[in-house]
Amino acid sequence: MKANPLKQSVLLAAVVGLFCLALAAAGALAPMAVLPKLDLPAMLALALAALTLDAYWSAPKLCWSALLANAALGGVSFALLPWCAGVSGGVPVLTMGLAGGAVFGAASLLYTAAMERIATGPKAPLAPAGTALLLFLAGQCLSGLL
Amino acid sequence: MNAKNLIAPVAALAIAAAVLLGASALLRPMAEEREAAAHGEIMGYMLPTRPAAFTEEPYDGEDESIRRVFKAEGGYVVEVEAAGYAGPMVLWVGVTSEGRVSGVTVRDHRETFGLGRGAQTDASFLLQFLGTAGEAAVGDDIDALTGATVTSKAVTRAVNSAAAFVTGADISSGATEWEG
Repeated sequence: MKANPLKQSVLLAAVVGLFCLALAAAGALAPMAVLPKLDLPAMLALALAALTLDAYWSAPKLCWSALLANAALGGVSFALLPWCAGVSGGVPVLTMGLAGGAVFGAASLLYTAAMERIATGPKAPLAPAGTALLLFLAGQCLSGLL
Repeated sequence: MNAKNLIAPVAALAIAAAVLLGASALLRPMAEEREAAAHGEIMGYMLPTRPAAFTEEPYDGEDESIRRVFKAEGGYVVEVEAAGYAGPMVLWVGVTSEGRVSGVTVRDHRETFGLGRGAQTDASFLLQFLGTAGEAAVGDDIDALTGATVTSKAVTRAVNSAAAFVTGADISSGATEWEG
């Protein structure tokens, strides 16, 4: 699997699946709690979490065909998994898929472009997480404007 | 990249979807049962009489921000929707039969983490609304949350709308044009 260019999609499915499972469990155990929504900032956070895991696994390299395929599979993850868990909050599946694919594609492009220009490795173990954090803060501001 | 590369992500998606479908089927009945119990418990705290039973009343007024109205001994709990900074906010506002606000809780929102999200958790902000009767105003008797003026005004409009429903007051509020 190390050489699979779609590894990011596997990690994203795992991250989104765990988030949806946690939401479904919290909704059952504490039904009146105000739980986070799977909105644009949450999608971005999940996408960046998957990309960060991938970056610790192997150094990211920009490959357009893989990026587009990952974005499409990311859209499927964000459409299918929240619907299966019943946590999509009434948002149509198609909207979730399109938004999720766009967010994951954009996050992947920006994250990979940044990581290719940052010195990483044993001397900079926080670089992947730090890059993700900065991108999340920027994305949260942008989504507020949207 | 070839078609074989698709096997792993598709398998991961299928496994995750199957697990979530199973978990959802198991958890849904528990969620419905607990929600009904918690619903009444939270509403009971919204009024000073601590009523145990609420009846939903039909609302056919003109204030589009009012979504549902629950009546109990000693007052009402009004579910109000207001436009927050990052999306709609839903609040429950307890109003006594005399038109005084006796409880405010944020039930749903999409506000920004670290800023507008304080409307849900900042007790000192929410406590300012207790005892008001539809005349609350940010900058006057309500101190806004730091860095979240839009959210604070949304909460204020929602609370005023709920109080106006009970008092029949005609308030100048962006959230309501209701004239009682």
